[in-house]
Parts: sequence; structure tokens; C-alpha cells
Amino acid sequence: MSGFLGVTTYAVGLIGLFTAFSYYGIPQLVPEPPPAEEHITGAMTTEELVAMGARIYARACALCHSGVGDRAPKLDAIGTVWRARTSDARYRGAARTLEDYLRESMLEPSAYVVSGFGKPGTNDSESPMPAAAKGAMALSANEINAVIGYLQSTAGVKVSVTLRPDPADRTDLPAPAPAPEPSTAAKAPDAVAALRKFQCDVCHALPKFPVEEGEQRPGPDLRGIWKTAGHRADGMDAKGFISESILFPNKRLAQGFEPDLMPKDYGNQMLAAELQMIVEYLAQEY
Amino acid sequence: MRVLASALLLVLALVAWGGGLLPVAFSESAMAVEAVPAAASEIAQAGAPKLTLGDYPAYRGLNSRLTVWIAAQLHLFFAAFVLGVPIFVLVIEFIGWRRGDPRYDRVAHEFIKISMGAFSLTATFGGLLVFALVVLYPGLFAYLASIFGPIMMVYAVLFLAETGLLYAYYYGWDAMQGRRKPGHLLIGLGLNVVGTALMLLSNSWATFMMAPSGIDAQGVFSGSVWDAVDGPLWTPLNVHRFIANIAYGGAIVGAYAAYKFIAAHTSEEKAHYDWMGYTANGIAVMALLPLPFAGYWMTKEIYAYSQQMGITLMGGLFAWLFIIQAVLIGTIFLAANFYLWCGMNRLDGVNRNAYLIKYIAGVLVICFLVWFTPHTLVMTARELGSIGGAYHPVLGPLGVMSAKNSAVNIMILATFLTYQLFHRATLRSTEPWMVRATRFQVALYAAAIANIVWLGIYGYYVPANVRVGLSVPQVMTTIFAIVSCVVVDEAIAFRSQRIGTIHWGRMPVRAQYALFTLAVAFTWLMGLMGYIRSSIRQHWHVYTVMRDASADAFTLTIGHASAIVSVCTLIFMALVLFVFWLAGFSSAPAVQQAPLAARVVP
Repeated sequence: MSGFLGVTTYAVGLIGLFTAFSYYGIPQLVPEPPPAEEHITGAMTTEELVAMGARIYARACALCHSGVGDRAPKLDAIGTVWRARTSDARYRGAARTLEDYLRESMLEPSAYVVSGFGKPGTNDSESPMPAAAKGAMALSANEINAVIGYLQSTAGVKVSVTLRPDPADRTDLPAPAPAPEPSTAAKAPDAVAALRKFQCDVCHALPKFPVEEGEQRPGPDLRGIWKTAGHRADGMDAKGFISESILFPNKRLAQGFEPDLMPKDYGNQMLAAELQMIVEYLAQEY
Repeated sequence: MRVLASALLLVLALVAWGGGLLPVAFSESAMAVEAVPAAASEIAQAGAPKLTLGDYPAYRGLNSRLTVWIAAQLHLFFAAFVLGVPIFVLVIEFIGWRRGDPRYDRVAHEFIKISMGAFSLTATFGGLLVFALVVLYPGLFAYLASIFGPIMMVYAVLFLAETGLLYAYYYGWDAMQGRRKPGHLLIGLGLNVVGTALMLLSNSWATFMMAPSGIDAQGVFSGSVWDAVDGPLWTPLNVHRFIANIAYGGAIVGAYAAYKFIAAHTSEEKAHYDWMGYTANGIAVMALLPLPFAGYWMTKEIYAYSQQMGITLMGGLFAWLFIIQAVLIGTIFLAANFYLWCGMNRLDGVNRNAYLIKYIAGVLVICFLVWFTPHTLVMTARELGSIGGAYHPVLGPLGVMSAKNSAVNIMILATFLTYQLFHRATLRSTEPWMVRATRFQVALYAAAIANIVWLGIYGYYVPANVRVGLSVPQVMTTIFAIVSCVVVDEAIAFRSQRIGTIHWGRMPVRAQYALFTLAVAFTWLMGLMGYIRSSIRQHWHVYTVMRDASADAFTLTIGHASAIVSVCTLIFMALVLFVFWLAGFSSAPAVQQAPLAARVVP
């Protein structure tokens, strides 16, 4: 009987030791929950789209594209290196813009394989990355757009992805929870209405908006912004600069103006389509 | 006898052609049953169902995942045991028959007796698992059955055959001695063939869920069951489980021998169970040696199938679980070696090679620490800052596979050396060539270790794809050294003199606890690795094809998962002790008939 008790006590103690090591010897990381079915609606702002892209990227891409373990190339410099890659003799794709290149890389990863990251034995002609639209990732077209938007934003270039009028292309999924309402009411029909909706004309003199002679407004005069915006920041075109100035007003201040005068939450207030209309309105030649 | 045969023939005739004799209502129901395959086919042709939370029945107080997990794990523990034991029982019985040594026959009989009690528990937990799946995961089971239906029927028939053969093998043991022994061995062979076939079939369901084949991206079944069975991970898993079952069976019967040794009152009993424990430990360790290589192959195939799955396995959250695995395997190696070192007490006088033990122990500990060193892990920003990067500045290089492969190969060589020292302790070289042969063995060990270490260092200077390939020459070096040493040892043993005797039973009780350590660590390790294998599917029932929409489709924290593994291990060990207790009813007389003490075992 003592032998039985001894053996039982020993076995229980040993199991307890293994359990204790697993509890106290190993960090208790809390795994992320299963990925929610991201649903993109036309009412999303660009910031929301980029934020969603960041979430998708974190769960589907970051494990490999982290720079740890030489699994996949880091993407922090993608805004500049993509041109060299698409000009490379090994490039087999058809992309002409960063957006197209990113989309192509996600859908057909073998179109261009960064040196040293190919499948073993393929001489960097075949990528080990699974196609983002298939398999375990199975991202929808709009989820891919969101990731592209996120990568563009982290690369410091203009977010160029466009939202579809009805982007619920994952018809096989259960109906999503209703998206949070934007802080403003219905979408403005055109750029002028959008500028009025967000009261841009209160602080800025705007093209084709009535301005009294000699009137001073709190913000910079934007009637000639189309001439200068393209030269204000290196590597950024006029639309990119205007877009950044609306979403991140403190990032590049016009001379003579103090920070924090302009609201910083237009990214949450504006619909993506409204932002786009405003940017195009201000960037066009007058 | 003639009446029995006639009755049997009548039953067979009725089964084959008796449909017309049956009542009409039954015939109609039979037609209805014939329609079922069409329904199953429709499910398979419709593709993998898109489940929602409502498709998972919920019962108050019953966690579906835990229920299925525990039932499956206990079924697998017992199944591994009852499939592994008959393999080496057959080998031991065959050796005993060829050598005419009844001790082998008796110990083989006792081994199979233990698995008899475990067999019914295997079936019980298998039934529980099926019921749990049907009731709690009906959508998943329906989809799997729509593809594997024919295989499941074959499985059921084979299970009946396994039952019949096992009972015939065990209960026919005493009756089929002498001239009938070859017939008994044939039954044992049939038992192993059927048992292995059962394992292969059930493995296909698990590997289909991990790496589906025979279906398209929507889960539509192409109609070829073989394509669904022969997935990319099926063969590696088969090989891994086949070897692991033998190792596991050896570890459990070793625990039985240890338990009986501790409870033994006479020197004959102690000698018998000491020898039994030595044999079981040998089986467990010999089967353990190739297991890491089978594991590497399996992981390589996982990477080849899906790099994303491979990285989730080795580089994500699950990477921490391999640190626990390293601790368990280190425990197993150290316990097995400790048992062998204690075994030196059985020899007369002082073992002239005993001084090597402390060096072997040192090598094992160093190799264990290398294996234990983590590499790419999920870390918080604070942890990254503390370490100063993704890797430790000094120890980081030891975490890569180059170092780990080298470490495990040297551990295997060290363990084999321990065996060799015990084996050679009772031999005295009588001819000059034997001395030269022994020096050759020493040189072989040195060259093998040098080659393994050199390949490991070389791995740091070559690309990853080349580095992965270096594990093959490392493994081949280890195998070559072991096989060469065995050949030389056998040649020496054939011509040399034996000095002294092996006193079976002259073992400290703490050595028996080493055998228990082996059994508990093996069980816990199996539970852990089973969890890892299953959970790298993450939120998929069938990876990339059929999503798990249940409330439990999340990955547990490591502590939580290890607690479940511990619960499974505790239940299993409690049931195993019950089986040991049952098996002990008829063991005493057999031992008293043939004392083993103070005998040399070749």
C-alpha cells in the first residue's frame, strides 16, 4: 500500500511540476481571438480603412513580415523600393503604381521574389507566401484594399485605394454587425457641399468661395494651394500633401500658423469619398 | 462442434441471401438506408458547410471543446499503448521461441496482459469521442463522414478483427506453445497488421483536418477517398506515431514493472520485475532515439504544405510550447540515463567504465540546455528591450536549429554510450583485435561528435535552405556511429569471455521512480504535442476550408492548455494504475516458477 501511495504521490507531484513550469516558467501570452470578419462599408473614413488594414496586417502578415527570423522581407521601405523591383529583370508582373504592386504581390506573390526569400531550390523564382485571397488568409478584395491602404500610410505615401460603393463582397459570411455611424450625417453630394459641411470656409479662404477683400481668416488661404502643394514635401504630390494636411494638420504647419488650431479628427468625421472630393477640389487648377 | 459450424453457416447464408425472408417493413427501411449514401454524397458535393454559432448544440455545464479534447486524448493515450505493446511483444516472443528461453515468453505474456485491460478502455474512450463529436459537433462530423464514410466502415470491421485477434493472442498464449507456437506468432503478426491499419486510417482523419486533400478550395469532395486519405501530412504522421507508440508502450510497461518491483516481497519477484523494467526501458529508449528525426520530417512537411502553418507552429505563440517540450524530453533522456546508471549496481565489483558516467551526465545537461534555449519567440516590447533585441546577445545563436540538431544528436549518442557501457561491462577482451576494435569505437565516437559539431557550426554560415538540409548528414552520422558500434560489440561479445554476473533485482527503489518519470513525462509530452498538432489549425475545423464558428474557436493560453493536458495525464495515470492492479491478480505464481536472480542475460 505504501508503494502505491508513493508512486501515486510521485506521479501527481511530477505532473504538478510540469504544470507549474508551464504556468510560471513560460510567459502567459493571451492569443488573439479568431479574426473577426472585417466588413468594409462605403461609410468608412480613410482612417478607419487604414486602421482596419492595420488589424488585418497584424493577424495575417506581421508574423512573417516582421524582420525577425528572415521569413519575409520587411515592408517599411516599400514606398521607395517598389520602383526598383518593378524595373528588375526578374519582375514578372504588370504593376505601374505602388497600389498595383502591393495588390499584385498579395494575389500573386511569385510575380517578384525578393532575393533570398524564395522557396528553397527555386533560385528565388517562387515565393513561399500563400496568395492572400486564398487558403488560410482568404482576404476579400476590400480587405486587401485595406491592407494596401495601411501599407501606403506607413510608407508615407498617399492612400490611394478606393472604396467600392457596395463592398460587401463576402456574401458567404453572416451579416456583420452594423458599422458605427460616422459623426456627421449623410454624405455630401459634391466637394463644395463637403467643404461647407465641415465648415472649412470658416477658417480658410477657398477657391470659388466668396471672400471679402482684405478679410483675414484663422487658417491659411487655400485659393492658391493647387500651385504650391506639390512642392511642399519631398516625394509627395499635391493631393498627398493636401490629404495629409487634413488628416494630420500638425504634421507640416504653414509658416506663421500655430499648431492645434485645426481639428485633428477630420479623419473620423469625413467619409473617405468626401475626403477624396475635397482633396481633388483643392488640388485642381484654377 | 459440427452443430456450431452448421449454425454459423446458416447465419452467414441468412446475412448474404436472406433479404427476401425479412418482413416488408424492414425491407423498406433497408431501401431507406440505401438512400443514405446519396445524402452523404450530397453533403460532400456541396462543399464544406459554413457553420454558425447556432450549429453547435450547447449543454449547460458541458464545455464542448474540453469534452471532445479529453475524450480524444484519453483514447489516444490508450490506443498508443495497446497498439505499441503488441509490436514489441511479438518481437520478444519470437526471440524467446528461437532461443528456446521461456523467460522471454513469460515477460511477453505479461506485457500483453497489461494491454488487455487497456484495450477495453481504449474502446470506451473511442466510443465516447464519437458520441461527443456527433452530439457536440454535428456539422463537422457530417462533413467528415460524407468524405470518409467508407473508411469509417472499414475501420469498424478492422476494429472487430483487432478485438478477435487480441483475445485469441492473449487467451491462446498457454494453449499454443510448442508446435503451435508459429501459429500463435502468426496471430500476433495479424494483430499488429490490423492494429497498424487502424492507426493509419484514423490518422488520415486528423491529417485531413490539418492539411486537407482530395477536395477543392470550397471543400467540394472530388470523390476519391484515397486522395483524401493520402494527404501531405499522412505519411509523416504515420511514421511518427508508429515509432512513438512503441516508445510509449515501453514506457508504460516499464512503469508497470517499476510498480511491481516496489511492491515485490521476494528476491525472485524483484529480479523478474527488474529485468522486465530493464527490457521495457530499453524498448522505450531505443524507439525514442529516432523520434526527433521523425518529428523533424513531420515539421518539414508542415512547412512544405503551408509556410504560414509552419511559422505559426515554430515561430509564433506555439514556439513557447517547444520550450516545455524541451524540458520534457530533457527529463525523459535524463531519467532513462539515470535508470541505466543505477543499473551498474547489478554488476559484480566496480564497473571499470563507471567513471565515464559523470562526463555523460555533463554532456546530457549541456545538450539539454542548448535544446532548451529559445530562439524566435513572441515577446512584449519590454521583453525585447530587456534582452536587447529579438535574440539574446550571447545565448541567441544556441537557439537556432543548427545548435539544437547538434545537441539532440549528441544526446542520442551519449544515451547509446550508456547502454554500451552496461553491455560491455561483463565482457573481457581476450584477443588483441578486440582492444583495437574498442579503440576504433572510441575514435568513431570522437569523429561522429566532431562531424556533428562541425556541421552545426557550418550551418551558421550558409543560407537557411542549405542549413535545413544539414540535419540529414548529422542524423546519418549518428546512425552510422550507433550501427557500427553495435556491429563491433556483437563481434566482440561473440568471441570474448564473460566476467561476473548481472544480479537482477539489485536495484535501488529510486531507479524505479526513474521509470515512472519516464511514463509520466511521455504521457504529458504526448498530450502537449497532441494539443500543438491539433491547435495549429487555429480557428479551422478543416484548415482553410471549414471554419470553426463555435464559441471555443480561440487558442488557449499556455497555462490553460497545460492544465488540460495535466488533467488528461492524471486521469490516464489513475486508470493505468487501475489496469496494473487488475493485471496483478495472476502474476505471482508465474514469477515463483522461474527465479531470475543472479543470471546473465545476453
